[in-house]
Amino acid sequence: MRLEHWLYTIPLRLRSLFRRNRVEQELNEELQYHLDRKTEEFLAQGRSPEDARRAAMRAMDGLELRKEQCRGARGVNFLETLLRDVGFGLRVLRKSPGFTAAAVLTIALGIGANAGIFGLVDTAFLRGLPYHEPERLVHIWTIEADHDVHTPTPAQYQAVRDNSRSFEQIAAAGWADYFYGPDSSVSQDLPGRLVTPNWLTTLGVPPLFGRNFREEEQIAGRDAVVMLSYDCWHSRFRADPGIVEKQIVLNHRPVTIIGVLPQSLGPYNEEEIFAPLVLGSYARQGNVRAGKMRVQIIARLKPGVTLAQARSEAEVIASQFRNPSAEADRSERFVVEDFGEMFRHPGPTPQNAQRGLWMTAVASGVVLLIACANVASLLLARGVKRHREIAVRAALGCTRGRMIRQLLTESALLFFCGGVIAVIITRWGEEIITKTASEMLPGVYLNVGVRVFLVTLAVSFLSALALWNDSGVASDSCEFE
Amino acid sequence: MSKPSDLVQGTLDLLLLKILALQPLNGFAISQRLKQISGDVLQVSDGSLYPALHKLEQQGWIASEWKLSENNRRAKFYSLMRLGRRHLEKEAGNWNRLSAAISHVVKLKEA
Repeated sequence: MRLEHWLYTIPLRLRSLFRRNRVEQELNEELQYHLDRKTEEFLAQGRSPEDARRAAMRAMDGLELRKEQCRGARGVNFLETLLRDVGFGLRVLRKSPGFTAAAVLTIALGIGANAGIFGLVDTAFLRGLPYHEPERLVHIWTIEADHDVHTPTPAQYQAVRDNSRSFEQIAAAGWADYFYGPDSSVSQDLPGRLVTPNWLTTLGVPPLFGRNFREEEQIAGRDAVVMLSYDCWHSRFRADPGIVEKQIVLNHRPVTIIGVLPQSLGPYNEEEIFAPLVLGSYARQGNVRAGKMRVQIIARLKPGVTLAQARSEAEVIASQFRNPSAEADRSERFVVEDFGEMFRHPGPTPQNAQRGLWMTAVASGVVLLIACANVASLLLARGVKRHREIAVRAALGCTRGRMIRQLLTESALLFFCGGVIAVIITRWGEEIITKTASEMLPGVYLNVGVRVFLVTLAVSFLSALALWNDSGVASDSCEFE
Repeated sequence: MSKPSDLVQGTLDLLLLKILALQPLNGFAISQRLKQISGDVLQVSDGSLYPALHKLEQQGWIASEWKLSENNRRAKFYSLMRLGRRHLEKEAGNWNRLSAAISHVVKLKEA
């Protein structure tokens, strides 16, 4: 029933839309036929030709109005009116290029600033950690005899890994610095992390391209592979798309690049090199922190397991470490903490930067308001000029609603053009903005994607809506004297 | 002058569907037939006929076709579709129930 209905009516609608002239002509012909027959009928009654014609018209009860009602029945009126208004609006805007350019640029500036700042705020605060189901990720710490919270030792990692049942994955990440000299003249120390092969799987993030580490690559001698951070790949290897399988020399040792990490990795954004963690050799030569070799433990809770359950399990495991044989691995207890929690309360410096970012967001909102005010006065000045046009149209029977709609379409058009230019400019400035912003707050980047585009579009149309009553109708211009 | 609003809401559709159920007709012929069968009781202005026909066509209840009319001119003929026939049956049933109920009420004897 429904299908049959659409099978018949959709072609009809399409015809009304795309063969408009033909449909209009048919409407005229149909009504003309009726008028002619009616006239003949009146003539046969002995009326004069003139009188008969007029009587036939009168019987139609308002020919133009009836035609409009027939058009309304087609069900495509909304779209048709929109298309016609857009066409008309474009002609009007083209007729006053100075006004159009000034308005569009003003709007582009206001919206562009907001698009950029929204993009930053979005990646910094709104999206949360860029991992799969970040609420299941936990971070495990140890409290040692000094009652301070520390990062665990490799032995503690192994114990938690082997004895716990609450976790789907448990990964460790140690620290390392890499000496990188592409040629003898320049050489740099790059910050890096040594990670267990399941590290990315635990975070729930796939590599941007290339492959993940393999299980056997955590064995000494088979660990000559690295993954690059997105920034490292971008800045040191010119975003070379064929980087995978290439060899570089790190710490005087040739290693193969197997993949590149995604742009956003939350707290890991500052490191450039990621290599497999070989637990045996790390325990001997790793970076010493607070007097011991340490690794960060990240774990993913099994579905349905609560933080409290994981905590009590960690308590049991910790009891083995109250009196371990090796003094270095002593632990009073383990702290299992929500992974996102540590980044929600970052240190004082990023906090200031965050506040700065919010303030910039507010400032850019004010810029948009000022832009809107400027465009409003431009529109107002033009509204005065269009007084005559509007009065003539009202006199011709254009309804108030119809006129408002048309003028609204015009200003929406202005804002749409402004919005498009804004997105293009923001996209173009993506790299510069990212660079500036990440100096202020590490890990923040601008990615002009669908979200930014949609928000920009929404801002554009909201601004247009806010402004429509300045475009001339809602003011007294409609009350024609 | 009588306006279509004098007809009970939706009755014009019912009348048009019923007339077209008998045979395909053009707009002018429909207006004549309306006058013929209802006498002067139901007056439908020529003007309101066409918007109503166009609405029925957009619903998929009637279809139109250009054919030669009885005086050898091109005219737009409307005919009832399958969906329209189903709708007509339903609406006619509703109408019968409603009018029976109302005439029953009207005929009640005053005490």
